[in-house]
Amino acid sequence: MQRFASALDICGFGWFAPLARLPSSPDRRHELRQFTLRVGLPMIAISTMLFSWHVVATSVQVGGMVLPTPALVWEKGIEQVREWREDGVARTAHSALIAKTAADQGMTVTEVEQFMPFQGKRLFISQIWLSLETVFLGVGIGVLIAIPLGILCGLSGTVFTMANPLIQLFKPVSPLAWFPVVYMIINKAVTSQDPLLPKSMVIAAIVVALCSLWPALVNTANGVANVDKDHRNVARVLNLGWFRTVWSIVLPSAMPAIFTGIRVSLGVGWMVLIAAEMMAVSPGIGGFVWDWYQSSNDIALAYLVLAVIVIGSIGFFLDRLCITIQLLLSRGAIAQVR
Amino acid sequence: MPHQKFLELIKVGKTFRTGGKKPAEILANIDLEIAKGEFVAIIGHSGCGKSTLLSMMAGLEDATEGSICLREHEITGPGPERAVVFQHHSLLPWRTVLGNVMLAVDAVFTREPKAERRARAEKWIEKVGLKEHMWKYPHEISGGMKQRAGIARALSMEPEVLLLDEPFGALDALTRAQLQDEVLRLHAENGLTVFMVTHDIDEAIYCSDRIVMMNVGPRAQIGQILTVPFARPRERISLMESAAFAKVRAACVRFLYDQKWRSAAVVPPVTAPPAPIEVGSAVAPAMAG
Repeated sequence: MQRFASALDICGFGWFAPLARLPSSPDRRHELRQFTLRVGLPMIAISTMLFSWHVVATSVQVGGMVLPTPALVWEKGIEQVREWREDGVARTAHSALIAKTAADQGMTVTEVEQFMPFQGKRLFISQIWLSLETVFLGVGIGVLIAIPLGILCGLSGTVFTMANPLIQLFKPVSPLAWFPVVYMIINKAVTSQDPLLPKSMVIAAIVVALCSLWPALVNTANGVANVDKDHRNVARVLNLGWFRTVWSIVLPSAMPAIFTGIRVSLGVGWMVLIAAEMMAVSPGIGGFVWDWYQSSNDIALAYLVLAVIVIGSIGFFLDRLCITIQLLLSRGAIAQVR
Repeated sequence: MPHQKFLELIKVGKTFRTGGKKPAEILANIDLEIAKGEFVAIIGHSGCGKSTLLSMMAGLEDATEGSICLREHEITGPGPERAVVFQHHSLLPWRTVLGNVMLAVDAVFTREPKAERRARAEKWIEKVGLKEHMWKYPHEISGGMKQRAGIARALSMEPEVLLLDEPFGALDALTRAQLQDEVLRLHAENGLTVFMVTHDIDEAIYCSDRIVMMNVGPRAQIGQILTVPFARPRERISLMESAAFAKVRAACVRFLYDQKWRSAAVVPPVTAPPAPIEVGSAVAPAMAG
């Protein structure tokens, strides 16, 4: 149970850890109090927020527009989940039909799919997956550029002095400024009718990469530059070559910093993604937000608030995921779970 | 001790030049010869450049004047024939005890097959008494064990010279005594030449053949070299209770006190005698200065 509790802590469900410890704990009252505090206090804040939101939404009208109440947004959320479920059922039915037709007519499944495509709506929930793919693609590209560059900057003062002005120059550039540049280039560069990845996704991913590579770069450089002097000396006394030193001394000790960088990058990437998708009219969450925004009616506002909450939750979840991986990679945590 | 030219320091000096500031001359004119198999300790007040001298012998820092030679070859950089045990164990926290020792073995004995290298590492881990802990990570073992692992890593390179930079400074008195005995045993068994920086006068006397006492910096020089007249193997308790030990100890303490007063530019009060020396005490007086 103790192990389970530490595992919960690592996965970011630290709130439940006291509850998991409860059966074996010598001081149950302490564990219960801990649980009440860790779950209760955030609950108070959340209910206060919901209550004030409700009061404001029901009593204030903005230019004749009805503000969505928490209940309405909840309802829309449920509606989206229901549509997604129904869509899933319909899809299964459709593919069964295709398989049957294919068997009956003696044709391949792909052939049947061509003249019997699935006529489904684009759904908010299924777009979340697309957005996640885009953000991972973008941050992945960013990190692949940032980490080697960061290592070079951290190892060599010369490289850092050369690169630093460029880093400082591009770091504060908004995704909205990058977007048109990337859009024009990719739009011209990709001429294929049926590209490997949708153009809008590539554009959004590149904008994400351009904005998210800086935190990973700066953190990596810092981590590499601040390797313990004793550890560097160990490498020198052992006459380790450049590659061995980087691989067995520098990289492992810079790992926590690199991971922090990746985590910040992923956070930035997620923020940038929504803007990039909105502008690229990519069919991700951002695209949906854009569509709803264009329809500008009272109900759309409820959807937009829903989108805000979903975007926030996913960002939170991504951050937690990074922390969990980071904790699992650090030896202390592994020892705890074992 | 047969006298042959083994490790030689010839007019060694070190000046740190930091941009803009006045260059700081830490060490000057250090002349010292260490014979093969000799155990030399160096004591002196904090900041007198003891550790810098050790770093230069390790090749981690360059001497700005003079030269350091091993077997009449000038030392220009670090090398596996001069192993260092650092003050803060400096084990890699993401490697096990075995992994840390293997790093050294792999780096030095590149031509040996893997199994032999592994056997080497295990041999040295066993020699420092960590066999049962070789799969543990540094954060899972005590301070004394970490220092032992550091020693195993250094010795696994099969060096000719072992450089110890205040190796037991962070340990409690009992662990420290235990490790001193182990280092002495390893020194005797392997015919090592040891150079040890320490703050602990008792440690210096108990372990070494000669004690190098440094003047106060800046521009620190060797103030006095004291030959420790005790035969090996040494027996801790009876040695420390002997009058001869107290005499050597008193000489060291007097020298250091003298240095301290000089550096503070204060004339020692005539009424107070220079610190009573308790014969048999295992703990040196605080040397903060």
